Amino acid sequence: MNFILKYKGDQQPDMEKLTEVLTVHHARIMDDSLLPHSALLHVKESFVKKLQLDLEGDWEIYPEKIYKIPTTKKSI
Amino acid sequence: MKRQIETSENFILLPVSKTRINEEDSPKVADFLTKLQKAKELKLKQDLEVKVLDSIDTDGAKLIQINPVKLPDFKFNYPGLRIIPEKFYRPAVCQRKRISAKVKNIQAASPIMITINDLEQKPIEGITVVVFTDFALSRGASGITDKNGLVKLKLDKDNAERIYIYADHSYWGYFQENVRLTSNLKFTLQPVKTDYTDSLRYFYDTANWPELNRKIRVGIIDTGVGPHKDLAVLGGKNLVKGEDEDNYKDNGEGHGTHVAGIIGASGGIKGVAAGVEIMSYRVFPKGEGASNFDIMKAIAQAISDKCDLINMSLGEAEDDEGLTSYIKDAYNQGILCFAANGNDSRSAVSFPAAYSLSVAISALGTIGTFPEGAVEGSAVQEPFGTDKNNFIADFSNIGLETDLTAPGVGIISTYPNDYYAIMDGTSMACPAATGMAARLLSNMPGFYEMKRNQDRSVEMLKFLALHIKPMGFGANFEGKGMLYYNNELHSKI
Repeated sequence: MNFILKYKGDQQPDMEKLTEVLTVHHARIMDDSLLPHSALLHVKESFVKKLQLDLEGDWEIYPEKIYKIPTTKKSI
Repeated sequence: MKRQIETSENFILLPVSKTRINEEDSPKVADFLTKLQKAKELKLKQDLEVKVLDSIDTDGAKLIQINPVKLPDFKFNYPGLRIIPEKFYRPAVCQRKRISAKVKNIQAASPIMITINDLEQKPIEGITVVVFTDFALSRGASGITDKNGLVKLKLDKDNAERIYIYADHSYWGYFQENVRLTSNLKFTLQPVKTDYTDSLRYFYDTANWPELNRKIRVGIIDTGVGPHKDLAVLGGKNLVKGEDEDNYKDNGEGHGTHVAGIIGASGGIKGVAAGVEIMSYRVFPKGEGASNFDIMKAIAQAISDKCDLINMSLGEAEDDEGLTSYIKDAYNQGILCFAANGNDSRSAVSFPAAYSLSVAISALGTIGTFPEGAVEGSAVQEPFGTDKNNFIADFSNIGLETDLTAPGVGIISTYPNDYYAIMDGTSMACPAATGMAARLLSNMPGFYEMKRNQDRSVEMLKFLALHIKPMGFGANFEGKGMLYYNNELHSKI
């Protein structure tokens, strides 16, 4: 499952530490274009709680969500 | 019925970023919070009465009591603050599961053939026909016409409660109730004429307005934009994972192109802000939803490209902290995000429109601005405005997070490959408001000299507040009202 990783701090994040923690939890960065502020991660849902703990509050993790175009057309 | 709220409710005021205000970044907001700290009851601009119930430090959060119908006034007069309803949490008790089931077994009768023609009785291919025999139970059948303009449907009854006919482009849709179903039915669609006075042009005389003479840059986060002869796209980026980032043209669905035309078309039709700089940020893969991460990337790109306004005609029911943080970043860099209320038939305002730093737009329509028999007739519902021809569309989501209303029923705009199409929705109302904001801001004194920071967003909102007229629906439906330009608003208000 994909999750969004978002940095909370004011200083530059410790990317070395982040990489280490992600490796331990088999989390793969799918999109790094917003680093060092955000990234899209692929990680097993069951690992997320532990991953969040090991990141020691520096980063927040939210599930990736899908947005739709609002339509007014009726369908069956 | 309009929801009239006479009693006050509690709301939390928070600085835009973090939990305390930085006086250097936002001296006016800091001053206002200090004023609130000192006074227990305040009478503000426009008879806004605010009671301060609690506070976390001088420069921090305030718990206030205010009449909720006054919130749009408060937001436009005192921008630069997040306004969050006070919430109460309950113990996490597991609720009983509900069973919901729909009867699916339909005894199909003989098929019926439906033919769709144009005014010259030529068949039209690719038209979607939806026939409800029981609208409440969502029973019926739908299909798309072939090259002979024909669609064959199997239905369980010989009477249709409702028939909806939709064209992707070039024709108005069709709507009829209580139709006797015979073996052969024929319907004729009206062509779209670019000189027709739709609800957008009824309120805004776009054909006679001058093009913007100063630069305003609008980022459109959508399905992509163009190609269309009436649209000049300055730049953009495709943010969809795995797609070519330089292809920010429309993915073929046409939604983003229609949105862009409402804002900035200049040619066969004119948008409300012709001459605006359009940036296209494509986040929707064809036929699929957009990832919040791709939308976050799009906002980041719009910030980097120095957009002034961002249009987001998209939404979901639940909050999304990832997206919130980027809308906040945009606000802090002097960029306002406009978002569609959503089309869930008077449900709660969707996210991101519901986020207090977004500008949330509901959809309004006007009787007489679409042909008789057009699908748009099915959107007419109370409340009606001061002008009784005006109504808030039945599909529009509503709620006190609504900031503005704008035309969103039967809107003519651009469609890829030089076509024109009719579309309905808060998706159309949102760019009408964004475009009007662009037009107004291009004439805002001092706008181009302002530093790109939170104060710029605050001043932009205050300036727009001077050009809003209430339309008589009440705050729950229209927020503070509708943007107008040059004292032109063609409705009898």
